[in-house]
Amino acid sequence: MSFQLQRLDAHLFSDLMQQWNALFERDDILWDHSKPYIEHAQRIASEPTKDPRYGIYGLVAKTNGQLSYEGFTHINQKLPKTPDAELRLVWTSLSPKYEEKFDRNDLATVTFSLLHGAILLAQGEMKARSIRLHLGNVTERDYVLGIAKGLRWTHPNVEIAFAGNWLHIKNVDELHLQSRSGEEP
Amino acid sequence: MTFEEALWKACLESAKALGDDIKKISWLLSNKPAVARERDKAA
Repeated sequence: MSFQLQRLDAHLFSDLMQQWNALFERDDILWDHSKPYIEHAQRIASEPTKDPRYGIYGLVAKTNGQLSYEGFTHINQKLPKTPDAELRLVWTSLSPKYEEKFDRNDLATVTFSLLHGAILLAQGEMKARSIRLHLGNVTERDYVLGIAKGLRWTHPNVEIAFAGNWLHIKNVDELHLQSRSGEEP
Repeated sequence: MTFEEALWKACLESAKALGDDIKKISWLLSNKPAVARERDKAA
């Protein structure tokens, strides 16, 4: 099971909130402090004019036509000090359901889905040569260092670097993906 | 091994290596700074 990155508009974000509100009702503190992050994302998703270089993307599981919103992230397309665009993933937030259970399979699924989905976007609707994933703390840096080590072993041609609090995967436009749907092997 | 297979394996193996630190991932809403501060005060 993996999730797809799907751009959220006002309607889809409203669906997300319907699912998440039931979970927030059990935890007032969590809602009070999550509110700014969520309302900020909702404002961006609900803007009437779609910005092709900035959007809120849901981590969406699709089962029998039903959508389950597992999280969301901000994705923007930047032109840094090079002529090549890059995609940046920041402010990722997971569904409150993961407060109750979040294991290694969940983390692997979310991370695989973010990175694979970003590469698909970079090869498709948000053309870019590299992707960056923001790392929120030391734990994430340790975790992603482990991923980089694994990938360097099996795919030494994939260029992976760290810059500050960012994981940087370069030349993603040259990667050949077997799956276009985001399904993990 | 395809890139997807390698990526999935790397994500899973690294997640296993985190052990209990998995609960410190900042993507969890409870690890957003304000929530963590509030809970620390209440504890």
